[in-house]
Amino acid sequence: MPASGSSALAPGASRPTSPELAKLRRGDWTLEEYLDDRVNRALAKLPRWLSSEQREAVRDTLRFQMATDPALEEIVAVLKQDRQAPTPR
Amino acid sequence: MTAPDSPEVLARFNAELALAESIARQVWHTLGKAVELDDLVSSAREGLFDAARRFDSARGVPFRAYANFRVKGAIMDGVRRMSTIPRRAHERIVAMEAALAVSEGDSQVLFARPTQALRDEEAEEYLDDQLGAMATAAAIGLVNDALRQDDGAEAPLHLNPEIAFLQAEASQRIRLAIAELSTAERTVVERYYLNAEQMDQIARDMNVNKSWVSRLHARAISRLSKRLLGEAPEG
Repeated sequence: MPASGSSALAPGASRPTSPELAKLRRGDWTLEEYLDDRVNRALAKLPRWLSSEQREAVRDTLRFQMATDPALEEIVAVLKQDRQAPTPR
Repeated sequence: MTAPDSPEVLARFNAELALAESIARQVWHTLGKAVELDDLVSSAREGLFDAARRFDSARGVPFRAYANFRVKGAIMDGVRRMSTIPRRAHERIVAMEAALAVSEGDSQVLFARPTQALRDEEAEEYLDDQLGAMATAAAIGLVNDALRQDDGAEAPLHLNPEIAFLQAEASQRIRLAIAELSTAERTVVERYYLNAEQMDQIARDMNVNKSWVSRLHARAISRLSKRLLGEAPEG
């Protein structure tokens, strides 16, 4: 994990491709289903001390970020195997 | 008298006007349409103009991404200036601001490397880590905001007693986790979440630029995320 950021981009340290990504690649899941699954996984890890309203606010925030974040847009393009250049950033 | 904007500034502004308006519409939906769309669009345009004027290509972040962050920041500042907004919308602003701070801090790391060179597993790990970090930041922001709003009350008024108890307990756990961060990370996180100070102000007081503070914040949230979500903290 790089010292200057919060996410794994360092070469070498990797893990197997997930079964969910395999489903996306096979066409068993739509991109929307795959992204919903990743959001739900992130929410499931949150501690139980959030109220249901707060949890819903976090869910809406993650969906908002998925829809608008330029870095996530790039990553999603990779996961879609859209190896063409994504929307100019 | 203010000097007119250069053709380059105007070109940057016009190129991303649709992006700014699209973000304003997304925020509007996320806030449950609790505020006027026109107000959000107006703030978005102001943020875009500011971005077009301040943009520095040497920083390694493309203009579209830089404008994205500035536009969101301007919209959220605009909403915060509104005299009253529903609690539901307020909570979403708190959560979105925290997530945006994580995203902004990490952007330079991501954009320093062509994403097309990422392997699938790296891309998926990045996505999961980003969502986890954003969720953690949003959760910390929401808990501290709820406790701050009801400071002095026996329990936050809008939470049921069980959740209020859990959040007070959570706040203690968050403070303990923050105490284990490096001095610089701790300073940023305490001031941003516990004192509700803006990143710009923190950067000015620390005599560093805002992007440095953003990176520090993103790194701190990564550590807190692993700690608070029960995983082993990284070294």
